[in-house]
Amino acid sequence: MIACGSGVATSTVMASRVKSLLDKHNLKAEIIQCSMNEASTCSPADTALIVTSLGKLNVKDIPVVVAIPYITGIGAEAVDEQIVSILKERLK
Amino acid sequence: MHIAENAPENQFALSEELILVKQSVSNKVELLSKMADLLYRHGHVKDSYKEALLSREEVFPTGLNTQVSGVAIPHADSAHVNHSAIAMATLHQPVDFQAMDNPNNTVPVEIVIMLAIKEPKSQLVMLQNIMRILQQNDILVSIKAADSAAEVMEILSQHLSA
Repeated sequence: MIACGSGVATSTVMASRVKSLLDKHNLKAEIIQCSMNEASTCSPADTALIVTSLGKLNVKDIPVVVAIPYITGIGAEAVDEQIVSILKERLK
Repeated sequence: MHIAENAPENQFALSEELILVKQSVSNKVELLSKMADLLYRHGHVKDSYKEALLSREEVFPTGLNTQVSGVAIPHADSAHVNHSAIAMATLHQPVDFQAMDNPNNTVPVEIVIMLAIKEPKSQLVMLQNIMRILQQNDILVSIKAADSAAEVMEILSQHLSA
């Protein structure tokens, strides 16, 4: 699982929220933080999900969730649900 | 005045000298340059910070639509930062930035929070507090309406203590 922000601030905040989600739902996954420029190369083959601030990100066949709501607060719970349901599916 | 976050090296500098209110500028480059120059003059960032920030904003824009107004959170890599700091500006008239989640979309921005971040992982609480400001309409409204740096400073002090 990768939290890709376009810098250092957004990805740090996103990674923290994702970590809480993992703990809360008892999901076992490693969180890697990358910059947008490194995105296609820094995700290992078994990456379950990419959480990002940029809508255009496309890496192989890995699902991408845009987590801007984690920054603005608008629609954050919906993003939580999206992430949890994708992970439950992918981490089986 | 410094807003502390545990260890001294994790403090984010924030003071009235780093806050500009009701700015009139032609475009975002003018505003971002002005704010970056402020941070540089106070020793918080290296001379490479401004260029890095402007370039980054072009490729990975930081405009966000909140429920109150457009906000931008420009920042550059820690390599260009000497000491963590926050510079802020409110605009007399909105200035266009591009949206973080879709660079093709324009966001009319009225509040800019420029971040110089030295140690993102150990400054998570401060970053979360800053982001939380973006989520609270009443804080954004009062920042927008503030007539002086002192007033903005007062609002921020209440909400950014870690």
